Amino acid sequence: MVNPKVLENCGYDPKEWTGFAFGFGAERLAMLKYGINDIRTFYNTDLRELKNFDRKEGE
Amino acid sequence: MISMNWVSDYVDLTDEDLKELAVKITKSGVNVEKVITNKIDNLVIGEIKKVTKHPDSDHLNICMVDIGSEVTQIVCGAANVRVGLKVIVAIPGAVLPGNFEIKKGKIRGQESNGMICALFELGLEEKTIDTYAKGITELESSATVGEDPLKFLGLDDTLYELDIHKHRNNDCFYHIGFAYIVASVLSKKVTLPKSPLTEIEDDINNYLKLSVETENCPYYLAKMVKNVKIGESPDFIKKRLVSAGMRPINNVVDISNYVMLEFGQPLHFFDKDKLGDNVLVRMASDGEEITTLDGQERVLTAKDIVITDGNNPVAIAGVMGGENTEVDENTTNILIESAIFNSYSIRNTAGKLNLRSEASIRYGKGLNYEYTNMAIERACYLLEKYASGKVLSGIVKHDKVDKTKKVVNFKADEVNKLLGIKISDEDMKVELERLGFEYEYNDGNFNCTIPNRRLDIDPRVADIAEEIGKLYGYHNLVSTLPKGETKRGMYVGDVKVRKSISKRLRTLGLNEVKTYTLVSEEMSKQFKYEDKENKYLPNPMSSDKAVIRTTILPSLVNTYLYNKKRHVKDINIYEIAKTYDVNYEEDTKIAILMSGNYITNSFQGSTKVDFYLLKGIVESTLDYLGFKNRYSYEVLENENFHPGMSAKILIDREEVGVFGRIHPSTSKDEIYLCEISMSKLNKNVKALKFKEAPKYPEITKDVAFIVNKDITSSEVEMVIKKAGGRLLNNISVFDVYTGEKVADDEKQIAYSLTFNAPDRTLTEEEVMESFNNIIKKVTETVPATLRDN
Repeated sequence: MVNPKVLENCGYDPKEWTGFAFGFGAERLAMLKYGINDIRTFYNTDLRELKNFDRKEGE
Repeated sequence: MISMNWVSDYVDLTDEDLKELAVKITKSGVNVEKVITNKIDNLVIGEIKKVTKHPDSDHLNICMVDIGSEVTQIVCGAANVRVGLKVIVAIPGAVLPGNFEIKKGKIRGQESNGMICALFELGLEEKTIDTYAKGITELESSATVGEDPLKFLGLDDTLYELDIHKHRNNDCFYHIGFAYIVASVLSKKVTLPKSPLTEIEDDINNYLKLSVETENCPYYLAKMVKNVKIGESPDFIKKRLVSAGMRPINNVVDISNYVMLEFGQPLHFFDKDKLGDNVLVRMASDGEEITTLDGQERVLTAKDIVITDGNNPVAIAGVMGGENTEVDENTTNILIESAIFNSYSIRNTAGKLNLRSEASIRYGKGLNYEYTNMAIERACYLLEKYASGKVLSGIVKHDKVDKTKKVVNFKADEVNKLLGIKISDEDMKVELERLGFEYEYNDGNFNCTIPNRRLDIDPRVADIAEEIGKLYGYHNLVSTLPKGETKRGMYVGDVKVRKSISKRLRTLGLNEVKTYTLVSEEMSKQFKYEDKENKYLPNPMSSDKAVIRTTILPSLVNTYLYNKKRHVKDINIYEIAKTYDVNYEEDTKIAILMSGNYITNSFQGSTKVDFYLLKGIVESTLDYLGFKNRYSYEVLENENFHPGMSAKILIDREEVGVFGRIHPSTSKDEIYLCEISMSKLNKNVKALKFKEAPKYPEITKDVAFIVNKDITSSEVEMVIKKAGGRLLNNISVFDVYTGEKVADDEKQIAYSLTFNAPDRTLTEEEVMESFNNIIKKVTETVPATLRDN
């Protein structure tokens, strides 16, 4: 939940407004789904590894 | 690292399963990463009652051992067994390190119902020639038969290794703070240690004058202890320091560290006789020097807080003491400093001098003035007890701390609304008590005072709600999905364009890659074909991620090299990403790198990437975007591109990007690169319209012109187009020739021209009229010579 002080600093009355923020890394979701262990895999791009993804997603 | 044995001094942990407690604490928001314990079940203190030699062995003995519940027979091979000795016995059921289970059995035919142990067999000591030679562990005669031997030896501690969030309050950095966390989770109360001092009549104010000349030191306390005898610390202090990862040195130094680990308040001890009668706290001046305790000479700046003897620095406040006032084996009189310094200042100084210490970390997180007081008293008490010190009465104090109590008024309902739960007023009282927050309750209204030790809590109901939520357990909050109207999801603006270009490039056989936005300084200096200045990070975490990139090309070259190293030969990749310049201007760029084969046939002629292939891919993409016939090229002069094989790409005469072969001095490999600004592609494109195929047959004529090498084909084609008129449908280059048949500074371009009319079959005369006009205009205007065929 957004700290009411932050809302105040941005010009919103915390008595009227609340806020929430969330996010997660898309990479991490992909790591879980496909079994990738190192996040740097996405940024190094070994084409031998990328080749495996040249197919339709399973049902 | 927190010693739970130590914590049990302040909160009752009897009968608590420390492994379960660690889980509860983690669920409340403090991550206990590891629980480290030496505890082994089924170990008891035993007394050897009788020793007889084993009939079938020359070194084994049969011992009758009283383990409290019975006197049992154990065979033991150690030489130091004797009647009356108190020993550590592992009875059947005990599992020793190495998964070694103790069972009832027979050794050489004689019954043995357990094992008499040495510490190294219990994993509490290293197995060396010396420790092995000592035989089984001999306990003091005061040990009570039947009791836990590890407890007797004080070795039964459980340690919690914490993974502390960077922004967390300081409470995980001292054992009393952690005790409050444990107390809130277990609904227990914390008892603070007592320091019953005996002060002598002499007052410290007779021996010390304090002045503080900076606002960066809002609180400074000093007490004096004389006739101190430097020696060894008592066992419990040594053990606790070691479990916290600190090295015991001597009783005085150890007491200072012990109190810091207890109250979270770092202390500094000065040798009073070396220090003199004055303490002046001020900011250093630029260039002021001090030799610190580690023997290093340091140069300070006006941003560093310094403790002086009135003139010269004697300590870098909050970071490290000076050599000139160091406590050594000859010290007898000690001045104890317990103070609060501006946390930002300490963090900066420690970071700049690369002197981050247990002390500077704690100063850097902020301190509670109540503990500043308790800590100095505690230190005096311990010095009195364990270093024969005599504590002078009185205290020297500088106090500018804001002591305003943090009070918040709220109703239970406000907390409930924020958390989405329903806690009654009665339960709210219970939770506040668990947290140790004092409150007054009046007709639904809570008036709550936040204890000073919670530096992280502001007097707002949201902060109270957060604490209540953590005790309630975030994992206990019911997950619900928000209800409301939603809009239809779709890609908007830029994203749509990016995805369509991305898809097109994949269709053309390229692979998408993603690289980092932050690059090294070296990389940021390459491929600067635009007049853009890079933004340098003021505090980069690493030198190869120190600059924000204005072009993707150097990163693609890195990916190329990464793959080349791994023997990948054919590398055809693209990336579409935002780039940024020093004025925070953002530009989405499309970057392509191609090298090796485009199409690989196992044994019959692969198609290799070359300049024209990349040009074809670029044009195919621009055509796809609707820019057919609107793009043109110009000479590119850039030190990273091959001068003869590179060009600027223009649409409607505006530069939108570059492409070409990499300059041999940048790489010896045959790498082709392209980068286009996606924002510049944001031009109006005519709506798609049906164009009927020619109803009437076309006539094709070939022609070749010899022109000067510097003339581009597009220049020639422009003339052809104009001269050809409405009948000319298509111009195609089908050959470019240089060599023997033309002069050194010339080339021959061959065109295939297609003529067609929408409403009739053209006659040869009509075609020739247009064709001849073309030849006339080209030879005259360009100029060119016609090649006779």
